[in-house]
Order: sequence, then C-alpha cells, then structure tokens
Amino acid sequence: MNRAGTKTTVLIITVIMFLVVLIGCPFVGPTTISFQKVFQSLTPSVDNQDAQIFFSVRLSRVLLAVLAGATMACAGVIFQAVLRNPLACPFTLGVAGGSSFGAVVAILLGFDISVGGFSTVTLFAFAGALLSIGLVYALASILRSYAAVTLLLAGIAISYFFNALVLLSYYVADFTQAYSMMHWLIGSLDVIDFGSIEKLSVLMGIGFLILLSFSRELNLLSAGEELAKAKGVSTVWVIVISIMTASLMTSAVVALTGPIAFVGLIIPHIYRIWIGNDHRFLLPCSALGGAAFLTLCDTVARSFFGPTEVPVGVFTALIGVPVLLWLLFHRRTKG
Amino acid sequence: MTYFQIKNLSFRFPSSPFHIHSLDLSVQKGELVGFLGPNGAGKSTLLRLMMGLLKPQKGEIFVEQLALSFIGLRERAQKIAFVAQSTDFPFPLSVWEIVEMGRHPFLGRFERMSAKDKSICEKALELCDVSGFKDRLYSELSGGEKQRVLLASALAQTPEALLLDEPTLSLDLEHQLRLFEIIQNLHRTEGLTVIVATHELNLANRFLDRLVLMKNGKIEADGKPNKVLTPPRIQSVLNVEVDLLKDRKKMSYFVPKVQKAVKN
Repeated sequence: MNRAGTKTTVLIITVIMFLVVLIGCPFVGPTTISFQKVFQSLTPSVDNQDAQIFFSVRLSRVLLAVLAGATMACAGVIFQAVLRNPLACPFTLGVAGGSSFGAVVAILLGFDISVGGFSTVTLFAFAGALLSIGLVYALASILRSYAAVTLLLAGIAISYFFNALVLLSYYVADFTQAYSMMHWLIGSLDVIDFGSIEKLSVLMGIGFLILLSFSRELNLLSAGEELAKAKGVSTVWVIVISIMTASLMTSAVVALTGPIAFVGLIIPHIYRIWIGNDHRFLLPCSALGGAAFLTLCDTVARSFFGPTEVPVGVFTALIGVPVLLWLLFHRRTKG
Repeated sequence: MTYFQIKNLSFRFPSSPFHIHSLDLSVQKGELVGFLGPNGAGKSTLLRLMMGLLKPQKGEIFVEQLALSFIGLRERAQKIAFVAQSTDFPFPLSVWEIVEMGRHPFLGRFERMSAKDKSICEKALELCDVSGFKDRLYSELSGGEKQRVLLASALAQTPEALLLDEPTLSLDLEHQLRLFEIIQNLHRTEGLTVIVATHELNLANRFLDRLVLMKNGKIEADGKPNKVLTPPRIQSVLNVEVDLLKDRKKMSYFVPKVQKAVKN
C-alpha cells in the first residue's frame, strides 16, 4: 500500500483506539459502576458514589496515565532519532537514575513537606532528574561535542553513577523505607488532583508542539548528522532543543510516577515498524499510542489483583514485550 | 565565470597533521571535474570543506565570490548538494522519504510540500532512473540503486553544483557506467557544475572534462584528462605501474601491470 495512505490510516486507527481506552478504562475496576448513574445529574454528587469513583478516583488516574504514556513515548521517539540508536529510551541520558536518586534520598531523609501540591519525593525526584540532565550537558560541553556517541556515553556514565547511589541508599535504608523505595523505583500511577493534571498537561502540550515543529529536521537528523547538515539543518541547534525539551518533559512525569519502564522504548518501535520514520506522523501516533498503552496497562494493574494493586511498571514490560516480538516476526512476512 | 574559488586552504583534524596544505583551486560554472588520488589524498575532505561540513583552519572558499562561511546552512543547501558514499540508515526509510529530504532547505518550518516541490522530486527520481520504486524501502535496494536514490535526493535540492564522494564505490561495472552516464547527462542537460571524487581512472578519463590529481593534500596535476593522466604520473601518484592502451577511437585505457605495485 502507498505509504502516505498507510500513515493517515494508522493515525486514525490510533486516535480511535485512544478514545476507546480513554472513555472505557475509567469504567473498569474492582468496583462496578454504572454508566447511567455516573452521569445522573439529579443525585447530588456527595451521594452519588459511582460519580465520585469515576471522576475523582479513576478519571484523574487515567488522565495521569495518558499524560505519562504520551510523554514517555514522545521522548522515546526523540531520543532514538537524535541519538540514532534504536535502543535509546527517555532514560538513556540519565533521567531515570537522577530522579530515582532524588526520590530515594527524600524517602531516606523522611521529610514530609509539600510545595504547590507536590510531595517531597516528587520534588526531589524532579531535582534529581534536572541534575542528571545538567551533568550530561556539562560533560558534552566540556568535551565540545554534542555528537550522538558523546551524549550516549555521558548519559550512560551518569546513569550508572546515580544507580550506584540508589543501591547504596537502598542498602542503608530500614525495611519500611526500602519498601517505599522499591515501590517508587518500579514506577506506579497514583491518584492526583485535577489541578496538577491541568498544569502538567499545559506543559506537556507546549513541549509536544515544540517537538512536532522539528519533525522534518528530525527526519533528516535520524538519517545522519552529516546528511542533515548537507541539506541545511542546523544540527546542533536541533539536538540541543529537542533533547532538552524531551528531557524536561520526562523529568516532570517521572517525578510523579517513577521511572515506568518500556513505554518509551517499545511504543516508538511499534509505530516505526508500522508507518516508518516520518516524525510528522510518528510523534502524534506514538503520543496517542503510548497514552492508550499505559492507560490499559494501569487498568489491568489496578483492577485484577484485588485487594492489592500491582505497580504498572511491571505490566508495561509484561504486555509490551510480546507485542513487540509479534511485530518483529510479522515485519518479515509483510516485506 | 568562476563558481568555486579556493584560496590558500589548510585543514587538519584535531590531533592529526595537516590533511590539506595551502591549496588553491578554482572551478568554473558548469564544469565537470574529477578529484583523483590515492586513499588519504584529501579528496573527500576537500569536498566536505567545499560543502561547509568541515571548517578549514586557514584560507577560505568562495562560492560565486561569496565566502562560504558567510552563507547560511539552508542557503548553502539551496546552491550546493553533496552526495556522501552510500550509507545505510539506522531506521527504515522509503525511497520517496529520502528524495523528499532534498526539499528541506526550501520549506518553512510549518510548510508542506507543494505540488511544485513534488514534481521536482518526481523529476529527480526520473533523472536518476529510479522513479519505479518510490514506495520501496531503501534498505532493500541494491548498491547501485541506493546510490542513485541518494543522487536523486541531492537533485531534489535543485542545486547549481553537485559534489559526489566516490559514487561508484562497491558498484558493479554496469552500475558504475550507468552512474557516470547519469552524471554526464546531468551536466549536459541541466548545466550543473559537478565535482566527483573517484578512484576510477578509466571512467574519469572517459566521462569527465577536467581532472585534479591529488596526493597528500596537495594538487599534483590539474587539466584535461589526457594531459593529467600519463603512465609516469600515475606511477608517481598512485604507486602503480600502468600500461596505456588505446582503442580504435583513440580512447586511452590504463591497465595496472600485474604484481608490479611499486614498493617504497
């Protein structure tokens, strides 16, 4: 089939899939709620238990999953394109290591203050993520090179460094602290207030538009730095802006959810196999696909293991790996 | 009219000795030039300097009297197109997607390809004899087809000058000939200024109008092929003894003598 036609079709399919998940998932959960009762305006909301569960418990969590999934998948697309490495993910430049270290330190110190509605752990995790990005950039500018290899090596070095500090903190922590740390490190979604979701979605929206405006440059850059430059792309500018934007977006999300693995790695690949490497389509498809995927995983994680919940970070890989493998095997036959 | 004017150009990679030594060269508009020389002579480096992909330590390159360092990246890409040695890409790309890239320097940030841009791409595909596989994946093409697709992507830039870095590397005989025929045709019908870095003595001799023989970052000889390519000079620059054969049309061919590679 004509590839331009395929791209539009896949985008439409993805939009439909996303809408189905967005509307359907808040109805799934350990407590059954009825559609009519949720939207019954006659009953005052204080008495309407179904509406309460739907809006303040499930919908807020679903929206967080949407934002987190979309952000991770987009950041994954950017990191893979700019570093020209299919194994890159939003955490390749040390964001996960840095934020984990921040979170672990906050748990260890046991502060319990909140600023602007965000907990200490969230704030420390965000600071840690920014610290790791700053270190990677500092290393790259000392070496006077924003080449893919330099950034990759700097990112991996910083990641290992922070991971070692995380392990050290884990080792000296007591049992309760260690449990909270483990829970955070797997990555999980919790109920947050709509105010935070609003702030977050404005930030993510702006970030996404910045990245989307670089689509064509990303197409060229992902094919090769020299090729891009020969065709008029200011490569350093594109690399710095897009990586910075993607890193900041990831940091904000990871600070709230912990480093949820695999969404940022697998979703871009699924769409690359499906529609190719055109970022004008790859970015929106991955954003919506990542949002739908994470929401679905989280719905499974919170619904079917009652009375407890399993952190969603476990399911992203458990569900994602078979999907990726299936696609890899089918690509051959598709030619 | 002079298109490229290179003045006292010197270049070195960090922590290496000078690769190009105070080189002077001028190329006229509409010329069809070949850079010849052994590996490491500086052919590819010189092409990259002329495209502005590398920055010289000394000297300057002028493009139509304008210093290259004062021409913006996009503007540069509108005038000059560069075709690197055939590469593979880390992600799957279709032929059309690669050719489309050539229109990038002409499009605004949020601008889409117009019908005119598309017809320019179609024409580029046609000129390179690859219009049949627009929707095919680049990774599934043969070496010769890949090279022609990269050339088409360069032509989509509607350039005034075309710089090709060893375009026939690893191509079989038929595809080597076909590529040089396309290049010659572009030069004749489109009036492009073309510079080809190549190792193919016989093809260069047959298809190109002017040859620049390089060794150790310096120009050893420059002129018409039959003046530049003489057996003694080939021996001194390429370190290989050759026999000169002439066909019925008096075209010269160089055949390396078996096992006579000179040892220094």
